[in-house]
Amino acid sequence: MFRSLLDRRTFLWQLGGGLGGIALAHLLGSEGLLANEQSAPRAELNGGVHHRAKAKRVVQLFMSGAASQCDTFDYKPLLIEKHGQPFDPGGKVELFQSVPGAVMKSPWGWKQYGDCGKWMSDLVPQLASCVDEMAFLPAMISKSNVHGPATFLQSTGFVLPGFPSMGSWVSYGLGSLNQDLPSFVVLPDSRGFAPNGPGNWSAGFLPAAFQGTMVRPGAKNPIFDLFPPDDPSLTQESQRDGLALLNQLNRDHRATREGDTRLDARIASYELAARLQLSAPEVLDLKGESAATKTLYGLDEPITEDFGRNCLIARRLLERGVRFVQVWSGADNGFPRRNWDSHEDIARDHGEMGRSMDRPATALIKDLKARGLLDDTIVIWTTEFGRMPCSQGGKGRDHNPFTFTSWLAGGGIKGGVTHGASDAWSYKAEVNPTYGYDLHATVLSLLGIDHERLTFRHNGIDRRLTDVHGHVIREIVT
Amino acid sequence: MKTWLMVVLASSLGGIARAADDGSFTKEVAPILEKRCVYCHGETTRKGNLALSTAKTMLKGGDGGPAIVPGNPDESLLIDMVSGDKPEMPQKAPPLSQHEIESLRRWIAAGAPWPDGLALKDRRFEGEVWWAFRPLSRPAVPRVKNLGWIRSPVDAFVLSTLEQKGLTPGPEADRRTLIRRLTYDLHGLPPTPDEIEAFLKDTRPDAYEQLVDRLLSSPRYGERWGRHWLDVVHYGDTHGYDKDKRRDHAWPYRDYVIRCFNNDVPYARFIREQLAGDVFFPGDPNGIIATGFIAAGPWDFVGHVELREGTVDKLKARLNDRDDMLANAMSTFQSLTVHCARCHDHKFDPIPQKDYYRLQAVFAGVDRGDRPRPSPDAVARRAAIVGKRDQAASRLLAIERKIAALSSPEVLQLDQTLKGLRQQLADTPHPAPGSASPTNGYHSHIHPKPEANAWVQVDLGRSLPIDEVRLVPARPTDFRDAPGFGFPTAFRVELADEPTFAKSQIIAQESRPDVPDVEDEPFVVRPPRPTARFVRVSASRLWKRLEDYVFALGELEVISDGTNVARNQPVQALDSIEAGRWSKRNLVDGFDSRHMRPATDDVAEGLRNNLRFEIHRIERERARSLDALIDPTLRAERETAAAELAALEAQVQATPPTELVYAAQPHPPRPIHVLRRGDVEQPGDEARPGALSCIAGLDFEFQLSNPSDEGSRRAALADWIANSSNPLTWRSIVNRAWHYHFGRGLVDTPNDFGRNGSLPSHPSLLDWLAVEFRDGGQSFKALDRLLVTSSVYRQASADNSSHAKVDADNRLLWRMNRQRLDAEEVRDSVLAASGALDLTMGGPGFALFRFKDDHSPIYDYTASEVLDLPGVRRRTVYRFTVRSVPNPFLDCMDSADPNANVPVRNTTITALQALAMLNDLFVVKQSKEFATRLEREFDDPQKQINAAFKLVLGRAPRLDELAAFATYSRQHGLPNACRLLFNANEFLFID
Repeated sequence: MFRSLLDRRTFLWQLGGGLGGIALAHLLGSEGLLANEQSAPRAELNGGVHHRAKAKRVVQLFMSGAASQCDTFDYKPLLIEKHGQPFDPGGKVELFQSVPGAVMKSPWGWKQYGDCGKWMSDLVPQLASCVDEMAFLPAMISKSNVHGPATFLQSTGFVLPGFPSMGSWVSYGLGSLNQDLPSFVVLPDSRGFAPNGPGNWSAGFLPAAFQGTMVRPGAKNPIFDLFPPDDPSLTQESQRDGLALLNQLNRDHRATREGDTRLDARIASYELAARLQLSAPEVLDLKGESAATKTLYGLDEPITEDFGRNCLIARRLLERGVRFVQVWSGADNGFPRRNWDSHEDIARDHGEMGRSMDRPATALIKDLKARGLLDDTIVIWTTEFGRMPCSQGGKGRDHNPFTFTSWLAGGGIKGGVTHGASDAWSYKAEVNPTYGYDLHATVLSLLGIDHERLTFRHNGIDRRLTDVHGHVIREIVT
Repeated sequence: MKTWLMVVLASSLGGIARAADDGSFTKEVAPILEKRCVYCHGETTRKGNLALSTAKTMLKGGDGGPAIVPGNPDESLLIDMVSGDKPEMPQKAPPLSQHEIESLRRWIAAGAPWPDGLALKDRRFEGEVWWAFRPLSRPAVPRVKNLGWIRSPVDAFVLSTLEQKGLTPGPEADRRTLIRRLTYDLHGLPPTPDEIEAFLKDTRPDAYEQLVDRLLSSPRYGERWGRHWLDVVHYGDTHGYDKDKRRDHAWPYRDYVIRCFNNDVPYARFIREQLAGDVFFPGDPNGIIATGFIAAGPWDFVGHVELREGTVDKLKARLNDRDDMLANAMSTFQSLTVHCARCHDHKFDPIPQKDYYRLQAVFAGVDRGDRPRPSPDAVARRAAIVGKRDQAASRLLAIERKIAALSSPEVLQLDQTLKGLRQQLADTPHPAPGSASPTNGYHSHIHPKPEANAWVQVDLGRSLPIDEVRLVPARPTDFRDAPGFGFPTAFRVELADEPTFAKSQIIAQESRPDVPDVEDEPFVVRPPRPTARFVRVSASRLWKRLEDYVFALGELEVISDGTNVARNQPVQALDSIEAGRWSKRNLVDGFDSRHMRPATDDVAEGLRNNLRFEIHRIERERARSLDALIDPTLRAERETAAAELAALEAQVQATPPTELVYAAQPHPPRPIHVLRRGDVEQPGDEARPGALSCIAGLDFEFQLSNPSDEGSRRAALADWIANSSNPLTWRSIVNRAWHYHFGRGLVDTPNDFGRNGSLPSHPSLLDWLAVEFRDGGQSFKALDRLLVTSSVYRQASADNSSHAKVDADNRLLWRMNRQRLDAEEVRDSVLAASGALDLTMGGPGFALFRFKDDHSPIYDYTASEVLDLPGVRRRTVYRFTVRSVPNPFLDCMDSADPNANVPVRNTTITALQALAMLNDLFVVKQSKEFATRLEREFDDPQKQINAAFKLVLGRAPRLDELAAFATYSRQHGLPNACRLLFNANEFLFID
């Protein structure tokens, strides 16, 4: 049936968005077809392409608007000591919107948790119970202090638009684990899109099949065009008979056109579409979840309900073999604030965002663990940059691209460790500065992919998720 | 073991530099190092702190220790790194050959002799010139055996390659296939059933050529090919990024592109217009619009508008913006990835980092924004009102003449006084000119109308008694000589003790048309010694610059107790241009635009100031005396005439002779430096405007008579690109045309002709086409005609399994490529079939979303009501394209991402596409309209289905198909049957 390897690869790519039922990259890898593949070690475990993988799935929790490190995970006694005094870390301080105000301690208290003794703020008391599962990166640096470019940097590895999202790269590299759902699913904040909108989960120049499929739980069409619009003529019977007739028409057409696998792929795409129509509503239907689970995720409280539902759906998607799930906390900029961009009042606005995130994110870790999924699922918590240790207008905090915190947990991640450190102010990364590239390289590595060898030639350049940068952070890997 | 000790021993035992070189080093070893190693391990690059360029640095080694141990290849790190199954070096490149490794080993074993003083250089790009950079010449048309197949030289080139491989061309496609293929190719639309019938019946020998000519002369052609161009230049109707604002005036560029293809504008002209139309063709309405090319790509609103001047991130935003402009130009016109040389020399092509920053310098004065453009309609609208305004003005002038003729002894006396004072001023010597000025002064933003507010103020630091305020006009040296440049025609001078001027004291209020032209003379105010901390000059009617209005001042002096207390004090302004010789702080730097200002105790200047002040005072007094002489009737007449004139003047102002276009906005060029590692915080040498050094015979360092003339930089680049000796330009464009006609370019990486791109499948054909196009009038339509009338193009797309074994990819074109409809073709064809297609051309884009302006604007595609709004059934090329939120239906069909230059559309096949074609509201609605049309035109259900097949698939149904669709239609309705046809592979693929 397949004319050549090249043609076969085309065919697989076209189906490879997760619906092909063929482990795309496994075939690509084993046939040495993946870009730059010379003598790849065979994928033995978890579909690893270049080396043995420690994880096969990823869930990324993205805090949009810039979550403050010094109010959550980056404890600095100096801020408490110098609270209210002029902020003078030495050198010129250049802020996004404002001139530096006084040093401002976090409105939340701090305590130590777990065997590792990690300090956590009272804004994230639930997450504090998981510190021994988590690896913290408190010396993250962003190359931009503007939301749009910085969000791109964390999601696609570039500050410019037009590049594939991390989820797209992972799907392109590994293909799908299931036959009924897309391999890369995105759950935006129910209040709206983060900066850059769907550009954050675009496939860029990769085939469209690898772009994030946006799922809107609760909408009549949770996936774009999943079901026909309300119309009396669009019945199940008309669809069923129609697909049969269409199939006949397409097969007759195909019969006189040998050697074009695209025609076969299109015929198959209708069968795959039908499977998605069955499986998508099932995965979004939470009726089967126990009351205890729903409570765990915070579905019983208005403040945690939205993010909690999305986290619970993320777990259901992962369970069913979705490769990469991205969950957003925070929408676009607007007033009142509906994201983490707390320029005006950190206690009020971070208070709300923190409470809405803390319980659901914790539930996701614990639930994945209880179901044995945490062993091969990587949980990433990140944001586009951090916030300043000094005040803006008395109660808020301005952007801080010089240091912020991300953390990871799950498959292949060493728990209870911290890699790198910011300075005594939580103003600049000081020890082991870490970039999004390093985080991306580490996650790819855990998935069995060498980030320097996962490439796609576009307009004459062998593009990578990590551009020309990135080091695997061995210190946080088991 | 490789230890320091051994190196020390080896060095002391003779040293490599002293070992005799028998020539093997220069002949064998040096070329390996220079071609494969020195790029990364050179004198300046030193990856891993290792330089292999001299004997000394090689011995010293890098992070891993010394590179070699003379006399002992087995202990030498260099050999270790390049040997083995998976050698570590060279990185990301093929390993060295066994022969090369042996040469290295022999050389080390011989004690690593190195000629005295020899330093190796990176010579990766020396030797044979890369194909794309070679000069163009017209290749001979090859001889072939099967002469009967040849319709044009194009066929000869293709057939010659086929014959060499033992392949034969495919049969000619049937006429029904040909007209469908051609109409989609040239129009992006299906042929109508009548057009198909007419072509099938056309017995003229040149029926096909006639069809081609008909299609090329239709305006649908420009819409189709304009869309291709818009893909390449990444055109969009919003900025992109966060806060993705609308660009409501981008569309004139889109229309310009469509117009150019329809009018068959020669390519060199098309290039020149898009890069510098405003410079080359200043009076041409297209001139400014065409520079929409430069502004076409995404733009970071927050970085450019919200970030403060002087911050590092502002510099980054500008660097990225210029990067987009130059990448757009070089990808589009040169098919090169020049933007790879931003942080370092290009890894694969001979493009040094310096070339990249030369190109940055070309765009150093270009911002993006709405720019007024000449518009014949707007000119006519304005002319009508200007006519009325002029009549009103002459009525008022007649009245003013009557008033001016009034006289009294007092007025005569004052006239005498004024005459004397002016003579005195003329006779008073100027102070000796101070040293030349490095600055011009303060300059406001540029306004489209004179009635705009602009102010600038100086903070004296504390409240001081004020004796005198002097407003020294600007007279910039980097503009045509214009005394009194920017001096407002209506302004006031105010004092206050706090910076907001909530409570202020006005010490002068002037309206220039009423006072004689002060030209270059400073304006001197002497208030009765009030005290104040802030002095503000507010302009309420601005100075006319070119077609726009500005407020500028050379220097502002505030005299208190004989000292200029404004000097070097902080200056604030409502807005300010901070570039080149203009800056707020230059208002109080002690220099006017030309010279250092005279000292405050300069006697000549003191005398002149006294006279200036006195002249202003007498002028005001004379105006008051004259006013007292006017009788009430005349006064009333004047008031009526003045009111009438003011009303018409306001109308004129509200009716500019221009409309707007989102295009390149020229400014004084900012300085550009070569940035180490592309880092704005590590500037190196200043870069001057220029282009690529790898094209032989073209001057890559632009010789500009006035480098501060922004436009001349772009004009020079346009000339460099459109030059007939630039081989990339002509190869690039004919390859794009080939790509769109055949589904794949002769070079199938149309944006990269460098070493990372593909090689041409038919290099001679590519060159022949490039020369033919360049020297034959540069007509796209002629090129299209040449390609689509060829026998190559007319082949059937049917498979040939024996040929497929030789050339599975059909690179040699033994058949035509079957192509899938692109996103626009799908949407336009559905509308064409349903009869809903609206062929209105041009104008603002139609929105397929509900728009809500906000902090971050919202584009909502779930709003179903927009599908019923007027104008949304126009061709898809006229839609309003949003960057951040793509249209889900078109995106799903692989439409071009306006965030990136798209030379080739992806064609993917996904389940989501199947769902979209089945369920999208657009398809469902159009299927209903389609059914309504069929029912209106045909009463018989069988005829309806027959017509539906012809409209969608271009053929009548077979009997079994007719029966099956009739049955289905009876059971589930004709709209559902229509919808199925839109889902057919036969609809979506062009044979």
